[in-house]
Amino acid sequence: MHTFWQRVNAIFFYALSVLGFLALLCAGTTYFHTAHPDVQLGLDRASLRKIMGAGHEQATLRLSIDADLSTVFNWNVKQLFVFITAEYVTKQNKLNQVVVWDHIVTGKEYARIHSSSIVNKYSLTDQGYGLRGNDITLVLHWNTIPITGLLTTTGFRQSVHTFTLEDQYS
Amino acid sequence: MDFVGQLFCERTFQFFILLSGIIGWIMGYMRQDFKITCYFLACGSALSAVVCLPDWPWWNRHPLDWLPARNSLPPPKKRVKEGERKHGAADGTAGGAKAGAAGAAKKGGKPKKA
Repeated sequence: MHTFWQRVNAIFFYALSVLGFLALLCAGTTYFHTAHPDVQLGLDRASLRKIMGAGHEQATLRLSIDADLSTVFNWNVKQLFVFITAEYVTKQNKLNQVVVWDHIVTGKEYARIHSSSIVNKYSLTDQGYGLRGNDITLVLHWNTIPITGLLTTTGFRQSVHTFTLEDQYS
Repeated sequence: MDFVGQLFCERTFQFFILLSGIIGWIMGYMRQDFKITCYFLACGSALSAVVCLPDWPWWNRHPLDWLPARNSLPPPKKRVKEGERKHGAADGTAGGAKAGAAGAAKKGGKPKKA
């Protein structure tokens, strides 16, 4: 503390310690935060085709989504990574989860996602021939990316959309 | 900055930074924006840097009481040099400097004459 640079060091690292402590407190307050998201998923159209020679089949989906995730936001949320998975059961696997669409919500003002015709970004491809005539459930998930603390994943299973793929290739 | 000043200085910046941090945290919680907390803390740090970093006069109000200097003779080396300088100056002429230098060389480490 008897030279200028020692005082610079002391002030800087004291402020940094206080910031770290306040960030920890901030993360603590959001531990009890409850969100009330409003999600409506739907299917507009689905078509199935067999990839010849590759040994698997692939579905193309046209989805509709109407989601309001603004209540998920609090002062410790930087952004949300929102994605839709298609989940189904086959003989091989008890659970297949395929991400078909994703989106980044960078602020509370963009948390209302409303679109009636989303074409799947990533193809819904099965390992084999398990899609034909199968029940597919669409689930909305999001990663909460915090300012401080743990990155959490939420799968919103209160409102899902289940449909049956047609029994023939188009 | 004296010793008491250092203590006061440290307490002062700790108080400013902690106070601004707490106020900023409460404001940030109320507005649900952690950026506000960061801004408050940055302002508190800047203020305490202005108050505490330079050696302001208010950190020097408790100077140390040094013991009085002992009235001792200067060390002998210094005394020899002084004598030489006096000798050179006493010659007064342009050649005197040379003579003085020669005299100094001749004398070497001998103590002062007379």
